[in-house]
Amino acid sequence: MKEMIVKVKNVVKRYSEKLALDHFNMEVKEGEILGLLGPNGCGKTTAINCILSLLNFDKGEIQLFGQKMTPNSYDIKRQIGLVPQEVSVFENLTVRENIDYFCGLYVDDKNTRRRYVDEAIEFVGLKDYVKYYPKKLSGGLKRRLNIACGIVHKPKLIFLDEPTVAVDAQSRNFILEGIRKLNQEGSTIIYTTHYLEEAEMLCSRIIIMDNGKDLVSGTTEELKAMITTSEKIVVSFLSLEDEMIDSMHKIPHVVDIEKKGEDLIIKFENGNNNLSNLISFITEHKLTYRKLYSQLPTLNDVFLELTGRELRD
Amino acid sequence: MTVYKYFIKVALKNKWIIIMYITIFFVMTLLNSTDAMKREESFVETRLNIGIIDKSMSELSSGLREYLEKENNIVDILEDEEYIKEQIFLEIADAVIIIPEDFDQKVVNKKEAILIYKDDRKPQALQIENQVNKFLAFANITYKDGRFELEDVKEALNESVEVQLLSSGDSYARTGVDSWFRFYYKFTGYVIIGVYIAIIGLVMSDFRDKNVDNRRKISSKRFLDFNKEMYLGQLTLAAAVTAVFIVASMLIMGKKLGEVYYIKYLVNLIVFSFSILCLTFLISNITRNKYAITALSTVLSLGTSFISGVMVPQELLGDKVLAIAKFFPMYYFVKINDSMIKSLLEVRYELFMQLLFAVVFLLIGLIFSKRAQKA
Amino acid sequence: MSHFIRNCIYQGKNLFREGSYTFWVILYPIILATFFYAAFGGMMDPSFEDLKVGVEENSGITHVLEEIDFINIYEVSKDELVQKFENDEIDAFVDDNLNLTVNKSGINQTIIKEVVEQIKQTIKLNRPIDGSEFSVSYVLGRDQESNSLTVIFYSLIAMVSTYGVFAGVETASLIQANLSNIAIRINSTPLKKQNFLIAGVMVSLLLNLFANAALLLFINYILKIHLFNNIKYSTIIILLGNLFGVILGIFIGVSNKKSSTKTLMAIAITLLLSFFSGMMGPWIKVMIDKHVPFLSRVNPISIMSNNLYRINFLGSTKSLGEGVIILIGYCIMLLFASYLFLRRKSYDSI
Repeated sequence: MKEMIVKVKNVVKRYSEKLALDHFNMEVKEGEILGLLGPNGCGKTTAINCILSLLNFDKGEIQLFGQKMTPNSYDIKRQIGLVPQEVSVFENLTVRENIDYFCGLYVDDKNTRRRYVDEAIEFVGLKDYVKYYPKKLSGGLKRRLNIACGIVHKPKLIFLDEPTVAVDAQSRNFILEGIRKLNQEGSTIIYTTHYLEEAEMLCSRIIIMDNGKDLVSGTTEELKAMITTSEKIVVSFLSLEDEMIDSMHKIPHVVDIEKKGEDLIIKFENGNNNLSNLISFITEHKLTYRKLYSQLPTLNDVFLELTGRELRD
Repeated sequence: MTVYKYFIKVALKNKWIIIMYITIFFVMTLLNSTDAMKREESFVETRLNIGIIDKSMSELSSGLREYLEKENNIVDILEDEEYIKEQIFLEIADAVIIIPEDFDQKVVNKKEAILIYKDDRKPQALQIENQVNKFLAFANITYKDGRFELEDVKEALNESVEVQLLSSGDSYARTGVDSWFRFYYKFTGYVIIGVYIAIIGLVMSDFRDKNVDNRRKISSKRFLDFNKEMYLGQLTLAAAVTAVFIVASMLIMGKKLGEVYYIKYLVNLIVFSFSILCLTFLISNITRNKYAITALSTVLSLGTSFISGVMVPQELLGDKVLAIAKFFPMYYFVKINDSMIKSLLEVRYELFMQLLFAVVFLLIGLIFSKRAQKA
Repeated sequence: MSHFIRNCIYQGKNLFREGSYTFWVILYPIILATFFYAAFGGMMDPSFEDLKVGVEENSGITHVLEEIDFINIYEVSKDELVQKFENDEIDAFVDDNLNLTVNKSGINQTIIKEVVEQIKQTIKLNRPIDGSEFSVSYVLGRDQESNSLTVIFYSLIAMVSTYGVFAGVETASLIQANLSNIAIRINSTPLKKQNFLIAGVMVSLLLNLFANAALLLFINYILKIHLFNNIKYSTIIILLGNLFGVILGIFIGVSNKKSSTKTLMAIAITLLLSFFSGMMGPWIKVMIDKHVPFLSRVNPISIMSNNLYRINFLGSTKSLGEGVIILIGYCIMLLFASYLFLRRKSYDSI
């Protein structure tokens, strides 16, 4: 039984006009990569700031490492690393100086510190840029520096708040690889994002959030299993009358048909031979199609079914 | 008009700090002009400001006091050396006289009978020394049978010479009201520079920081259109600031407006405001750094005010200083403000110079703006 | 301790490398002082020149006036009077009837009038005199240099000694999580706020003291205005001014949200206080002293500039103790008030 590192129970955070966290719950076990997934403004960052005791909250309970977190919990803070959403480094310190400064807030021994700093630089691949000032770095490299400053002291628990926003593809892969590596080295990771693919690829468990609430939690598979749609087939016909769509509903297991431009998205609930059933229907009615392919449901479908909205921007 | 509207919105968001800033400067302006009437007089008067401490209280000392009081202004003084020295240092008193207890005795014996604190480098020191020595010499001359004939001394001292003042044209006496306007508007010139640069700089930095998205939209706007709207925004804000000071002066002086050639002050301030607005436009195109803007607002406002005669009159400044001052619009503004004209035509050159500066500032500002856009 | 030193070093690097800030902190007072000097430099050392008196050719009073050592005599014909006046060749003209002609009223004209009057009055007095009476001086002079314009410089020095206020504002925003991103990160680390702040104060003080030193050297060696006779006490005052400035900055920094507004607030406050202390003309200070002396005693900039001229020009340390106590009092009050804002470690919104 792995230890429970983070425990958030029924937390309510109210900004003057808006409910930012609405009885929010979250639990993180040691060794997990927990993805906090939700659209922009759903309360992910607020949740992290409350957990870190940077924000007051109105109701609820938060425990880290089995203890109540307060602004003065320096022992807990020692085991935490934060990679904030905005690049938060000293503008007038070089890459190395920044990393060294933050490392020094945790690690007193000079030699250990030097080793840690070197490792962090290596880790984020900023070796050629150690003497650069942050403003001279590209967006992606800045993000990497931002990460290095948060993980240099090898914390047990790392919060990464949308670390890949506005990052080029190359840097993004680099960052995601790195997070996986950190996890393998023993860190527990809480990762917020509004990118589905990232969460799906990276996280061992996902909490889907919307409007300050935790909607569901589980592994990708568990989440997908929760919804009725189990397969989607996209087909594009040369021409199609509306009555034909109605008759399509009669194909076994079809739950919904959606028209998106030229494409028809046909959703099936759990069942066998969906594709061949559809193809039989097409042959039977002598329809001509341009393309036809089958898709497994994504987290977007999960979100869609839970909230009635798309997660994508 | 997106740019213009957004500019005004940002300005309104900052209204409290802008109001506070203007209020502070307004307080300074008022204090400065209230004090002005008195200051003006001391330039034409030749009476000294002296303090007298009489420990003797004899007939002689009273006679001396009476004489000195007739010739000079008396300031209150405490019998404390440090205090006295400070009054001299600050030029509150030109001299402080202490009459000792054994005053009469010393005078009769032709000893140094009186203590005077003064600055020996200044002609005022000589003047007071002359007055005292003359009175005591006269008194001694009348000394007979153990007493002074002070009535004779007094009578003699009433004798005066006739002074004919050759008028050299511009020496008509200013009225107090005119002095008030003169100092109020002169100081407003200083305020205009400081406030324009600071608050327009503030709004501009907000404008540029927080509106990345709008900026993207704006970039499709034509270069001159963008600048035109931004300039219009700055103009609105600037006009509001200047209007506050103009209206306040009208409210304070009310009916007395008629006593001065008010149109001079009004036109001059508006022309000057325009010229400084262009300077602000230039600065906001050169730098967005808040330290640079804060520093420039203080350096340019205080610096040019000092060398152009806002704080001390131009006639007291050296020629070299004024030669440098001519490179700033402030010089021409002060020149008009201090002039005693009856028609604006008399100062057309100075008005023209201010407008010329405005055009030059504007053009350089546009060049920088264009450059920034390319970069 | 090593934590503290590390913080100082890194915060120092971060501050000093802010090029435009360092540039302005150091150069700005120097530029201002140069302007001040350009305007007032010439007036600070009054020199007394002999008075120029015009008389008619072969005038009867020439021999009387010649006796007076501060008067130079020029023979002038009445036709060229206007010309001579305009060229400033004579201050006044005396005709044989002891009537005076001048073209303006000033101290020089007043002195000449006094002298001419004395001749008339002596005649009027109508007593036998042998002339020796007028060579006696009854006056024991105590020379006290007057130099109200130096108040402007002392006031300027006092003002810039508080310019650590800007660095204070910056430091505060680096540690308040609702003010900057970096503060969010720092607040998630085990670093204690007060340690970060104290290091920030030290660093800001250092930079501003350096800027002050540069200004004082500039005034002393380049402008050649000698303002400091008592280095020890002057240093105490300037140090306190620095401390006050930085703490005021921290107070402004933690008590408000918006950064650009805070800089303006800092500049407005210091400027107003300097105005009261006489930076834009000593007459303002004199007026304040006369009508609201209390303001002079509690205005921190006035405390500094008043004590600076008293110490250095008047040799008086009478008000120094009171000033030091009030300044320290302000520092403690502002620190305490800042603490109240800082104590709140979690925020309602970031």
